[in-house]
Amino acid sequence: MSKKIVVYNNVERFFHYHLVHLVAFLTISGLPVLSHTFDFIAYGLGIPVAALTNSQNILSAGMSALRFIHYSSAFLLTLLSVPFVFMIVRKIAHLSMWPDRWGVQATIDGFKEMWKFYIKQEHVRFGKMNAGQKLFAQIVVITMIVLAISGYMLIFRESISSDLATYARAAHAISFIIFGMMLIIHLYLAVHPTNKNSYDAMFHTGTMDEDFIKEHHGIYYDKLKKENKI
Amino acid sequence: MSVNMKCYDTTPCIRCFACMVGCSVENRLRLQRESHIGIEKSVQNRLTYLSHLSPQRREFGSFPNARQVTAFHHCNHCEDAPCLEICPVDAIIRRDGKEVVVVQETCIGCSSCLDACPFDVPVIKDGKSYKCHGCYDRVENGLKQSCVSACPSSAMFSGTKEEVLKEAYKRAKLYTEKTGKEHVVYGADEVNSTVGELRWVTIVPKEDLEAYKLDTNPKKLVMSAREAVKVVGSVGSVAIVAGSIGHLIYWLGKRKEKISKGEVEEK
Amino acid sequence: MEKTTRRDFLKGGVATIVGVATGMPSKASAKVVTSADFGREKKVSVLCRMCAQKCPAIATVLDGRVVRLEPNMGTPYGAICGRAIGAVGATYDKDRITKPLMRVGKRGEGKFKEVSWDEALDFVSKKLKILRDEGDAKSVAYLPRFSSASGVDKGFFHLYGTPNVVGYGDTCFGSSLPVSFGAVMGGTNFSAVSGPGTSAVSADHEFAKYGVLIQRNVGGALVCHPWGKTFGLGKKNGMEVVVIDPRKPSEAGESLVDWAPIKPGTDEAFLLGLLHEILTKNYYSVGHLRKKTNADMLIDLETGLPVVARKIKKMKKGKAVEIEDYYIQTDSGPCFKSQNPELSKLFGDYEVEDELGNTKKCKTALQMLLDEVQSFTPEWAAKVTTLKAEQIKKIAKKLNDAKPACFLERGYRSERYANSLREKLLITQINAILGVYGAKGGVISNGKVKFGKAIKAPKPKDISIAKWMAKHDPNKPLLNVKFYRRAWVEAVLSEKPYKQRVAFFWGQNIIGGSVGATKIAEALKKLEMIVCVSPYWNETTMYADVILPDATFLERDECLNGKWKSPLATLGVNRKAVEPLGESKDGYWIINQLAKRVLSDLEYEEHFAEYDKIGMMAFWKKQYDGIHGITKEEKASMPPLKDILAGRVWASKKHYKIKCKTKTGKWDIYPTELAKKYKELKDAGHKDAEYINPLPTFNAKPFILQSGVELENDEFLPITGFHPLGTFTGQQTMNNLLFKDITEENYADCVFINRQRGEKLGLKDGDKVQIYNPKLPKVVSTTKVKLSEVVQKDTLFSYYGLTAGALDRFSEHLSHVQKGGFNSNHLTRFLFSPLTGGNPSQDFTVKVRRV
Repeated sequence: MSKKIVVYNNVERFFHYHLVHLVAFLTISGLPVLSHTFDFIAYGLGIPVAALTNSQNILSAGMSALRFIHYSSAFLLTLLSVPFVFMIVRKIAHLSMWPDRWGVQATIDGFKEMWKFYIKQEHVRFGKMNAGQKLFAQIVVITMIVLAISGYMLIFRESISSDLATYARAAHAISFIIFGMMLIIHLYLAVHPTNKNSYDAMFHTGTMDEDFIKEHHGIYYDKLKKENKI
Repeated sequence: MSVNMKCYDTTPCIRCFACMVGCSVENRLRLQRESHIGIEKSVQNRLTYLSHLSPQRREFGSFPNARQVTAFHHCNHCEDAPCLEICPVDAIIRRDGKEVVVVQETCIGCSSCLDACPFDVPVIKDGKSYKCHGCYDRVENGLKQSCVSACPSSAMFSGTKEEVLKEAYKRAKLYTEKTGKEHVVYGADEVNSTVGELRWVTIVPKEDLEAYKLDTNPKKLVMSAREAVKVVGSVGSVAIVAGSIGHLIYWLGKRKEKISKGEVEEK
Repeated sequence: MEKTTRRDFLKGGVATIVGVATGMPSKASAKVVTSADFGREKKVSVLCRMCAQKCPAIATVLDGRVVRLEPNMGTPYGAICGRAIGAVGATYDKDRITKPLMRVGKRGEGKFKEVSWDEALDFVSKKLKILRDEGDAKSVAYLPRFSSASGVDKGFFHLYGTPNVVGYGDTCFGSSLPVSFGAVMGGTNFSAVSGPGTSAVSADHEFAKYGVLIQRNVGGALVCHPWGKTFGLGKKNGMEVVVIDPRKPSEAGESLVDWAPIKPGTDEAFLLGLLHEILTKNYYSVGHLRKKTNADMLIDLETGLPVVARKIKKMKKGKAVEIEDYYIQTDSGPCFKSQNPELSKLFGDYEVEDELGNTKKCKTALQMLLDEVQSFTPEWAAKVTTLKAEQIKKIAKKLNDAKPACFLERGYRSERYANSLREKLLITQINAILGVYGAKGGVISNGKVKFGKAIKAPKPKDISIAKWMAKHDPNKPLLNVKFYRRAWVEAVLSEKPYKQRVAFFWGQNIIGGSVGATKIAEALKKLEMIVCVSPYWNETTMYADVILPDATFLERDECLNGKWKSPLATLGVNRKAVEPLGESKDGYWIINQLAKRVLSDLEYEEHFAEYDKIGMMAFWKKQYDGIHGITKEEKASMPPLKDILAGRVWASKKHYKIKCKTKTGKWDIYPTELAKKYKELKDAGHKDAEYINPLPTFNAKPFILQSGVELENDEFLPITGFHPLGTFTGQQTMNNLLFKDITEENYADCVFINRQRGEKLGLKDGDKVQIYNPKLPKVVSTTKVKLSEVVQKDTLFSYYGLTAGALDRFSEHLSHVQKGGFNSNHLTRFLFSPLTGGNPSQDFTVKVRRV
């Protein structure tokens, strides 16, 4: 059995675990405001809430409850982000979401590697994160920052001009939709059999076998060797 | 029941603001009648959110070829009201006479109606949205809207859509003849696909549409962008889910093939 | 699957099942108000008193409160304006005075204590009784404006024995307007006029083709019933208007309305230019001039009077009327007009033998007018007024094309400049020449219902101050003996003809509303007692010894009213809708209490005992039973008194007529009576004689044009206008929250100056500025300035009565009125317009500096 390398530390795993729940709450509580297609969510929550509070209107009760959930989740996420962001910022130069090799050609090659792996099922050299994961991470960071800023602008929208609030609303929706579409891919790949080791690392152990890294994340292995971590 | 329509004629209007004060006072009457807040109390406060009609006066040109134009800010009771479409709690309804009404009991003050309205009409106050409701309570009891009833100078009139448009076109024709400048009835025809026709129309010289802030293509660009992205998002999400399922099926098949070929070990 | 998403899936799943299973609930339904709710309301007929026009309205009462005012559609011109609709804000104003107050501290400090009605009434009555017993009732002046006891108040004071019932109208309509109108169209007692005032005529906007709005903007919605209404109807019917105004108002319309941005104080020059065009281009009907006017009258060049005249009797409506017949010229020589009305010469110089056999050189009246206006070309007028000559010519032509369905708006607030009389005279002459009087779409006489007197008081034996001044004051030979509040102030200061010791103001703000505010405040200090009946704080109440709070119009019954500025004779009444707030009392109760205390038992028994027993019906019956001034048919069509009291408004039919009461029986486009007075003054060497020259001259200028000196860089000519939601200096609008959103959007608390001029002074929108009269620099107003493109370059415009002004101590009592602001009256010196004792409210300059 080869050595176990820590690939996700406690802070990262703790944060990601709660992020999953909070993003789920935020998404589900936000969807009915985005589109009437998701009204059933509000009705679902609204029926018990309306019964408990003796209110006439199920949809309003549900939406008000969802707003409470949305705001609470947002505040919790903000709180939880603090230690995580603090830790990230300290190692900002070394984040795995930066490209391992820069340049247009390198980027194209990176996606070609992904095609090789996920479609042709051939052996490839990935970094800690492959090109797609890096792109996903970058998009998530940007969209979540926009979601947070626009979200807080909307919570306090009486204090800003209504034009600005409408811009914030549109930005909130548009960045969510981008985030959401990326999230579907992320969820699929997270539970995909071929990524089981990553899943276990994030959700259970926090570690990966050195041999596994050498086999499947060659560029990462080389980097670890260079930094004398192996 | 037929469509109730209101018309504002910019020509005989003497800018006396009786309509606007009338709306504010009638809403205080409603406060007293429905919420038991005596009018002697409510007149101690401005209650701007209950003044659904407001003026927006601007100057144009430079002296001596200058003038001022007072735009009349009010709900248009759009045929395809964007506020009604977007309201997440279905708090905005359409009466039989087609007045677009916010039901305060249902409203949760999320401001979606304000975001969607191309005319920036709804006012959000203490967690509720307020806007002109066409005095449907008066109309459904045989009275005129309070703004129409207040107008002293024949500038506001209302009735069924047929009656109002007949009179409006008649006046527009006369003004066009007398002044030599084309007068139009803004809102009688579909203004654009965002709002449709309007149930509050305005008789105005065509060249003054902009001065009176009568937008010929009213839309909230930002909200239209949001709608476009929603469409892209829903199509995209479905495509991504389909693609994922497709990939999974393909991948499993390919893996089976690889295993049978002995290229990979079964785990 | 993994456990993280399971929870979410479960939640969503349950929601889906439940939501789908229960089905989408029905849409929200709005609360529906049924007619049952509407039926609980009480409707009361009122006559709005937010300004002074008494437009008929219906008040809705719900649970003891007035909740709505709407127009009374019982007349063809039912209409009320925004102020009326906001009346509930005035009645329920929590800064209203609702308890009697008595002064503590020095007069003018504005410190008061609450007292009981008995204490206040006893105090006032004691003084009144003492003066009456001394035989000095004449030293008590009664000055009403917003009276809540009309029909009875003046009678009480006459009974009391004072001749000095001092009307307020000299500051508005009562000085030059009656003189000028009467000069052309006649009226009662011309030289000390109480005749044709504001209510004399209305323009028939509804059917007019073209209107010149000058001196007053009829869309400004005072006189909403009927002028606001008829103006709207006119515009709807395609009437075209031009607005002669240093500031372009919104109220005449904003699209396609012509604007002549005239320099303040130069209306006379504009009108002379207009008259020039009309006479030189023959913009008149010869037949009309011959038939209706004295255009053909032969005028003696030496005297300015008809060369030969005689008195004859003519039949008019079955009655023999004496008229002044005059010489005209025909092809076969001169003769009297009555002898040959059809063939008179309208133009020419002639020589005629007068009654004494002397040969006199004379001209026809029209010739004299034409000769006089020759130099007043549109080009000349353009220079004086800063208008364009082309525009003046265009206006004249449009009047000609539209006549007689056109008008120059006579308006009513006329007291602005020393030469206001000349402006009004020209307007009346031009309307007469164009033939608009009595015509459809022109200008027609108003109707009125006259009543029996509620109080029949004997005439006081002492001469009133006004009558004495009209006879003895060389500066005021044309003083109006009904309206003379500022001349009264002069009497207080000079003690001529006799001392004034008590002023009883009723709804009157003499300081805020008159020229010479600071001097007037000084004069008031001389009096022994000042009583103010008022529900609202203003500059004058600060000088009161006693303030008696009367009830607002929604809280009181009033006597029948028959006077409106309407072509239809109209009868209506204001009924009490709700109980008076606090301890405020209706005016008749107040008068009754004073009468009890002040009059003798016999006098009280005769005049007030019945009111004491049965209330208002005592007065109503006397009024109704004595109705006159309308035709027999009209009287027959009138509803019974109980119906009127129940809210029915009666209106006569519209008659296209004009009352002409001149001595000549013609429309005196050459004002004969004025010419007589002019000669009298000229012969006596009066320095102001030119102010009533019957010919269209330009020798009697406003004060601001007299020096001929140009304005300095920081100097402006102040003008005021009513905001549609403002009224006089009335605190019923200034402190009314129902209007604030709108007046703020309109920057109604600012003064407006031309943008270019303002930028040259280094000013920008919203800057705080100080404004003062260079001839009275100690009074300084601090307010905000707004730069505007629709204000003429020499002009400083302000909305009248919406801010406190320089004398702003009273605003401490008003929650929604800030200190400062601008009331132009506060900056004026105590000057009079020549001859009439009028109120030159805009006839001064101001300087502006940034704070």
